[in-house]
Amino acid sequence: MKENTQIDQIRYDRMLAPLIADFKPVKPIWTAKVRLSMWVLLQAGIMVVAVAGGRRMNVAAKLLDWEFLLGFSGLIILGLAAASTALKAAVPGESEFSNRKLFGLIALGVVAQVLILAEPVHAIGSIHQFVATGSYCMVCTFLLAAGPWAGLFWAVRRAMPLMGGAEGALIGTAAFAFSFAATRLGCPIDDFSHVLIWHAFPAAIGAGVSIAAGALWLDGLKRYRISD
Amino acid sequence: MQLAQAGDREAFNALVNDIGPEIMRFLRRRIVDRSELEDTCQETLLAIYQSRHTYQPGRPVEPWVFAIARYVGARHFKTTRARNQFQELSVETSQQGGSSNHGLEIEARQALGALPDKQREAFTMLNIEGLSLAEASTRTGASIGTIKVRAHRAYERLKRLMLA
Repeated sequence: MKENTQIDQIRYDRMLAPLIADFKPVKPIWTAKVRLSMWVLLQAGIMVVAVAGGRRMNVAAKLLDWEFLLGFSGLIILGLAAASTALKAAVPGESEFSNRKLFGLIALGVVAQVLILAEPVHAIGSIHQFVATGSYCMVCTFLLAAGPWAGLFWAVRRAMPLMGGAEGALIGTAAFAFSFAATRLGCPIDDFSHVLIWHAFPAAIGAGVSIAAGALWLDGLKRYRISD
Repeated sequence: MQLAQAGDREAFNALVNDIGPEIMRFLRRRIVDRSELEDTCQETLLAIYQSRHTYQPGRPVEPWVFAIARYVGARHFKTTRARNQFQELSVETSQQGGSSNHGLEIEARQALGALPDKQREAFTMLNIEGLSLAEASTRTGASIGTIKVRAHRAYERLKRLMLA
């Protein structure tokens, strides 16, 4: 009781006053929906660039292949879900990142990967050609993911990310799921080993690097910690 | 909060004085030491100030405030848990043969400390702090059903830990 009274008597504004140099107005961040919409617009533009600049001539026919279509749609949904979760989780009280959501995303990712990798296995003709064509796809995977990854990373960092590595994983998953899907639309090589090594692996590596980047630069509370 | 976002320092001070005691009570469930409690409360208020741009105008302030307080408290709890466990173990060892009630209290504290953050939070809100399900739900931003499940799981786990 005595302690309760003591707590009530504290002037909390005085507790904070020495830590605030100048009190400035701030502009509230846009809602997660608005920021997600802008990010999706960016991704739509990138998808158009990937199809227009890609070497695949049978995009429409490929999209009629139900396995490819399901895998492609799965990657898009995975990217959207991961981006939405990352943006919401960075706003306190907006949405909790539960284990159920995590398992849902992992399951969706696995199903999408299995479906998009369901391509015939061809014998590798020449290693040189395999590497040359594959390297181009790998570079495209990273290039197409770079802008959306940086944009989403900035949007999350601008809010108050509290989970560091987990936020980084979500951002990486979102950006690289889309770039994986875009490069599959633009790349004419429908071969299991090509897709696995030059499309899926780079996407996984990118998402992994994003976890490290998140752990390093997305810990919102570090910014607000009072130094001893 | 909207006035504070617009740069009204008085409005922010009024808000801080209004929510300060609630945050202090919230954090007191996790932190026993008075000076550590005040430091963490100050850290929470600073985080609220620094992240005031993340508050969405028109939304209730409580879930936003307590989400920040929960994270700051959890961070503090994690960093001090190892130290506290060691200290409690030392006390237990040095007072072996002392009163059985004290030993039981330490055991209960350790079991509570071993619970996942969200379960411990729900359990202490309902069973130690005496909040209603609706109050606990408002404070955490989780649904009443979720709070019930978390508290029940905490109870079951505590029972297992204490009887083990």
